[in-house]
Amino acid sequence: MLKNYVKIAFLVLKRRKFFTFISLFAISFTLVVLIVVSSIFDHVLAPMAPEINKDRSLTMFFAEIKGKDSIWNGNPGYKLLNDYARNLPGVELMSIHSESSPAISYVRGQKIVSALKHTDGEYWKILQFKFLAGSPITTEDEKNANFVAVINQNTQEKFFPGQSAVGQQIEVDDQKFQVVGVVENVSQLHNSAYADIWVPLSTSKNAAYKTELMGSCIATLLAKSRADFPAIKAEIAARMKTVEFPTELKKEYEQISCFADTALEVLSREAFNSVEANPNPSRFIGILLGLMTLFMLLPAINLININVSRILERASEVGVRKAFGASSRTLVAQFITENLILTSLGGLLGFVGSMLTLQLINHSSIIQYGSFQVNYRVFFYGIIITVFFSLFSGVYPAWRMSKLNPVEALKGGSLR
Amino acid sequence: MIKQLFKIVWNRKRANFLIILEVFISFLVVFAVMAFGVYFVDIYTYPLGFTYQDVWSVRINRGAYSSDEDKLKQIEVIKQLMQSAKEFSEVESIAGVNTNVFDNSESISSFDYAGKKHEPSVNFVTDDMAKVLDIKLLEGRWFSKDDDAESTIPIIINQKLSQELFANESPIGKVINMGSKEELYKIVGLVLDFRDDTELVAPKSYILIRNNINIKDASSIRMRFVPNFIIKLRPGTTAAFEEKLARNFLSIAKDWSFNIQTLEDLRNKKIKGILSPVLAVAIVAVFLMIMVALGLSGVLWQNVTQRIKEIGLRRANGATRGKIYYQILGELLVITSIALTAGTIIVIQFPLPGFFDFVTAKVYIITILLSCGIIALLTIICGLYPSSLAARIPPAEALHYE
Repeated sequence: MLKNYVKIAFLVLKRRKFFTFISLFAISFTLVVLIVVSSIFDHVLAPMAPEINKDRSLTMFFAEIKGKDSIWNGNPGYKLLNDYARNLPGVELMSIHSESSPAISYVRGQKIVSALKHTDGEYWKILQFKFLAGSPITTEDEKNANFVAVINQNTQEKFFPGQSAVGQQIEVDDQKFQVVGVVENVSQLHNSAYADIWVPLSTSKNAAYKTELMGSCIATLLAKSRADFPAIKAEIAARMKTVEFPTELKKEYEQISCFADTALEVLSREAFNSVEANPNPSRFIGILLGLMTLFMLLPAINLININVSRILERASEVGVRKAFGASSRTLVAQFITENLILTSLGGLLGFVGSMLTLQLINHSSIIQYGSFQVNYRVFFYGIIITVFFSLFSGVYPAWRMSKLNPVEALKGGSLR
Repeated sequence: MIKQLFKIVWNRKRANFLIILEVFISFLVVFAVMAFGVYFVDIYTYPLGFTYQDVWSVRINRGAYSSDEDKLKQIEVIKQLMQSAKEFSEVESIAGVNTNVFDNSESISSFDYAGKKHEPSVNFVTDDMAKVLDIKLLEGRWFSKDDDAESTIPIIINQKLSQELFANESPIGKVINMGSKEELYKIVGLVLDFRDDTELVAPKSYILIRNNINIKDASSIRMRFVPNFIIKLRPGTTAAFEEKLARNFLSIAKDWSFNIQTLEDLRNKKIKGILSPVLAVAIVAVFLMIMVALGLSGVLWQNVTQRIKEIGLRRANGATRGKIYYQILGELLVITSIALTAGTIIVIQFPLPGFFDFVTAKVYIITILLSCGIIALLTIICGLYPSSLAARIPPAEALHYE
């Protein structure tokens, strides 16, 4: 039976090439957009190298100090994180590192701008970088303020074209470092991991960072499991109430808040500019799903329209089948099968299209070192979307078809 | 004729409903994208208020904040840096600004004036800023050394703020009180505008406050640290000078770092940041419209083949080809106008605060007209082939059609 349906389906698809083309175009284009968008979100939210522990990590990247009529928000400073976020319950490892900031080098009269990040030793234990050569910065390096640097592949090519960088000197912002390691490029969207050059925190030009409550740092907390998150957050909130303000801030400010966020919370905090303890990630997801549904509305209606037209084309065929005793259910099943076959074809094209589009995004410099991929998880979303689409656009036309009056249909009467 | 068309459309309402729905949603999509397009084109046409060619910006990184006594030392270093820069023949003028041009940060001050709350952007600038950016004054004067002796703090405002505060009166000489500190600010000059967020961000009200770096009192709000320099260079200065300048700065302030960029580059980066998402959405919308166009053509074509009998009868009764052609197109136009009317009614409800509040009435009306035009054009193009197909149906074939 099914074999017959498949046969008929292919015959029908071949018979009306224009319609087939329209349907395939609509399905595959819609899928390309949805898969590309979900790949990008997946890339930001899912654990993948170097941020392999993302699902049990928390990030402290946002702090706000408030006074009677002044508000200052930005990144927390080193002192705040070092004095009040160490040794939290349930935290295995904790790293403090800076936001990456542009740093300038002049090599053979050429200006090179690199993203520079200051890190501690734990940073290299929480994040698993892929080392092409050499080794990471260690806790010792940070303690002794050794002028060592890890650089990425791209930086190696710029500074030392055609040679290995390990052991060589590199000058950044008028400071000289010895390169100890070379890692693979990391996408700009991996906020904690992204940089071109990594150096120890203690090599900062200016020791003032050690006394800052507000500054340009990020803390990454690696918890034993997700179950520890609520306790960690509660403890941070309690500790923030005990923060001592230095005199120059006391004049204007009296309270400080700083939160530990999951990857999703980081996204929604940035999207909503939220200054609350809970940046409402469920609302963020809701809005995203809402937008996706809205976007799918037009292709869906378009497909329904085409499918209805298609069925009316085949009124006489339906009439014949009915006259020979086919039940409405059989006909609906047949039509939905046909539709599934068509959507699967569109789905295949959609996947190929998404891969090409993602390659295009990777090769354009829209996102530095972007390395988006359609992975199995996104593939799974894609299949769900495809099936949903197929059912959504097939059910109403199939129902219309089953209602056909065979006599009318055979006479070639019009349907209203 | 029109009434007749409506009747035909009404009689086939079930077949037409889905088409109307599709055109209606397409209109909403086009409207949303066009709203952004028209909005950007509109704000792009207002003058920027300054020139950024041959200007470099230098971001000074020296930590997040400092104590009063450190601040005095730092200001001394800043003065040295400015002095040393002026000694290069390539440098025409240099000034310090608190918020950098084409940067992503801004500071906003809120104060009450004549019972109304105002929230202009503020910037603290040193005396040479107008020289560096070639800002034209409409009225009054620019800051100078003579302001050191003034009891009030001199400020310069842009025309938008002047309109908000004093309508058509001249703002020169007026005094306003900002914030809880009992400091009075006196308006000494009026500029057309200072759109430091590029031409793609709506003009905003703006206050330039004089930063007096000559005071010796660190707690005074008249003196602020200078986090950015802007430097006007002689035309034709090459990038090689950049390294020279950077090394010179680094030799004076060893534990600071300096990030030098041309304003041109900063502007391009900012514009790219604003336009990229809009462009991505626009590309998706264009593909959506192609999809809709294909779908509509298919559906209309199918509709015509279904109505061969009816059309044949009309031909047999003496309707000319042209009549048939225009009947089919006319039906399509009726369908489109129903969808567009519904769409416009929905969209007019739309000026939601927070979402579309940046759209002026002018932009709104242009957007609606443009979107209607685009959709009408799209549907007509889709209907041309099916209509000519209908017109070509010979009556004989239609009458024995099974």
